[in-house]
Amino acid sequence: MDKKILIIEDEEILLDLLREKLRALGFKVFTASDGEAGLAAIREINPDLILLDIVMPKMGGFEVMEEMQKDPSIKDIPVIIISNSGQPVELDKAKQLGAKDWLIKTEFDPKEVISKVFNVLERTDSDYN
Amino acid sequence: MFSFLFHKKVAELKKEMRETKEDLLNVSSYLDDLFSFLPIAVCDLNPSWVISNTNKSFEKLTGYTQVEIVGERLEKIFLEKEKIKGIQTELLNLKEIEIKNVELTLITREEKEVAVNVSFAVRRDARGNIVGFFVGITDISKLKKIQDETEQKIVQRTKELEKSRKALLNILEDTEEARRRAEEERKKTEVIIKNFVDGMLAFNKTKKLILINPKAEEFLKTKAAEVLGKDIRVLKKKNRRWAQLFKTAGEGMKEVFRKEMAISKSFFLEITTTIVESQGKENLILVILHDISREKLIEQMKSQFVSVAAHQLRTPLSIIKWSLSLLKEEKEFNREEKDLVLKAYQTNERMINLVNDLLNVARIEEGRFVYEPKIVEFSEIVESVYNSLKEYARQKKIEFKLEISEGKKIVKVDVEKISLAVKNLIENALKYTPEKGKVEVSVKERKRRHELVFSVRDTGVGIPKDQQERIFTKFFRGANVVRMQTEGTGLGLFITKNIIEAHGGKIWFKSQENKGTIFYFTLPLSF
Repeated sequence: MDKKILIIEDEEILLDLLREKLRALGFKVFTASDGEAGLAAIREINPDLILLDIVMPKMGGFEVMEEMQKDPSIKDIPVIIISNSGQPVELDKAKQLGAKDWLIKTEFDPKEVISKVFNVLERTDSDYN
Repeated sequence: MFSFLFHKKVAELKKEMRETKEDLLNVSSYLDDLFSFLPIAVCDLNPSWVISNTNKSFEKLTGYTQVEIVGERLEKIFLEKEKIKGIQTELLNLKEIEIKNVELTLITREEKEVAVNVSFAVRRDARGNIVGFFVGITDISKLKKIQDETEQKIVQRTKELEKSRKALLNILEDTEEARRRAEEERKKTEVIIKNFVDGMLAFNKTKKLILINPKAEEFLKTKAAEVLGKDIRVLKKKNRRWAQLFKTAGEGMKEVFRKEMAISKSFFLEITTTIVESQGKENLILVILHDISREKLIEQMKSQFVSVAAHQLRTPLSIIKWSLSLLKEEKEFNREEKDLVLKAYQTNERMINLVNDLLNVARIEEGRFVYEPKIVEFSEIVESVYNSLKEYARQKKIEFKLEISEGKKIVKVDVEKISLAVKNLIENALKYTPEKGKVEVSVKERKRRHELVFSVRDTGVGIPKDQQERIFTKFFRGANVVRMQTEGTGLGLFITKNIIEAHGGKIWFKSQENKGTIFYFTLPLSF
C-alpha cells in the first residue's frame, strides 16, 4: 500500500502516535505541526488523505480547508477532521468546506481513527471507479 | 170693684212673682247643676278671701266637702301661703275681665300635694265694687308629670346624644389617626417603590398600567406620564423594550418566575410576574424587573473559564487516552500490567466524561448549547442507548428491559443531545440500583397530547424526600448516592433537564427512598 497520508496536528505526541500506527499499516505518512506548514505540504506532496486538526498555531484547520477550496489541484483531497471539540456549528462548517468525516479526539481511540481512514479511502477509491 | 180689681191685680202679680221666683229658682238650680257639672274645680271667695261656695269638682279635687271648706280662708288648701296673700293684693289692681293664672301646690284633705294651675278673677257689682273672687283650680299634676318625664327624657336623651357625640368624635379621631397612618404608610411605600433597585410595574384587572417606578422607566426607556393608564396593546408598540417585555412575560400576564430577557449583549433583565390579590377584590398584576447584567457577566466569565479549562484539559486527556489505548493492545504485557493499563484507561475515561459534562454545562449557561434538530425515529435513539448499556446491566446482574409501544414516534431533535439525555437517565438508573435489581425503560405515545413519554423505572436507592426539590440543580448529588458511589459530577440531570426543555418537553420523577425511582420525560411528536 503506497497511499500518502498527511497529518496536520500541533500536538506532538498525538502526531507521533498516529504516524507510527499508520506507518505500521504501510501508509506513507507525512506530518506538519501547524496550518501553514500543512498547506505547503499538501501542495508539495499531494496526499491521498489529510488528517487535519482545527485549533493550531499560525493557521487553523478551517483556514487550511478554505485555502484548499481555492486551489482546484488540491480541492478534492479527502479530509478527516480531528478535533478536541464537536459543536454542531463547527461540524456544519467542516461539511460545507468538504470534510469527509469528523473525529473528536477524546471520544475515539487511534484504532477507530484508523478504521475511519480506511473507510474514507475506500469511498474515494470507489468514487473514482 | 177697684178692690176686686186690685186684689185681682195683686193675685196676678203674686202669681207672676211666684212664677218668676220659680223661674229664678230653676235658673239658679240650672246654674248650680251646670256649676257642679263643670269639670274644673271652682270656688267663690268673699272680699275677705274666705271660701263661700264650691262645686262638685272642687270637692273631688281637694277632698273637702262643701260644708267642711266653706268659711275657710283659701290659703288653707295651698302650700304657698305667703304667695297667695301677695296674689290677693295683686288682684285688687286687676281689671274687670282680666284673669290671673298662678301655678301652685294644692294640699288635699289627705295632705297629698297636687300641682295645680289656679285662675283668679275679680267679681264686681254694677258700681264696680269688689264683691268677691272666682277661683278655678285645674289639676296639672299629670301635665307636670308628663312635663317632668319629658324633661327627664330630654336630659337623658341629651346625655345619650352627648355620649354618641363623644363616641362619634372618638371614631372620627380614630379614623383620622388611621387615615394619617395609612397616609404615612402610603408615603413610605411610595418612597420605597420610588427608590427600589428593581423596576416595578403594576397592571390592573383590565391590564392597564397603573404603576411604574423610576427604575422601570429607566429599564424600559419610557416616561411614566406617557404610559400610565395605557393597556398592553398600546404599550407593546411603545418601543422595542416594551415589546420584548410582553414577549418574555407573555401577553396573558400569567405568573412567571425569573424569566430572563436580554436587552443587549451586556444588559439583562429578569422578569417576575405575580398576581396580587388586593383586599380580596381586584387582582393586581405586579411585574418586577431585576437587573441581572452583573450576574450574567460573572456567569459568562465563569462559563468561559470552564470552557477554556475544559478545552485545555481535553488535549492532554486525548493524548493519555490514545497512548493507553495503544498500550492496551500491547501483547508483551503480563496480566498485572494489562490490568493496570486498563484501569488507567478507564479512569481517564471518567475524567473525559467529567470534562464533557463541565463543558456542556458551561455551554448551556453561555447559551451556546446549540441544537441541531433532525427528523428521526425516537425509538431508534432509545434502542441504541439501551444496547450500549446492556453489557453494564449484565455485569451488575440487573434485570434490564425495554418496552416500546407500537407505532411510529417521529420527533425533531438534536440526536446527540437527546441520546445524551436518554443515556444519562438509564445510566443513573443502572448505577444506583443494587445488584439483582430491575430497570425498565419504556416509550409510549400520548396521542391526545401529540407527544411521547419516555420513562425509566428502577428498584434503586431512591431520592430522599428532602432532597427531591434540588435534584435538577447543578452539582447536586443525593446524600445516599454519595455514600454509595463517590464517582459522579452531579451534572447529568441538570444537563438532561436542559436538553429536554430545549426540545419543548417536560421532565419529572417519582421516587421513594430505598424503593426506587421513575423518571419521565415527554417530547412533542413531529408527525
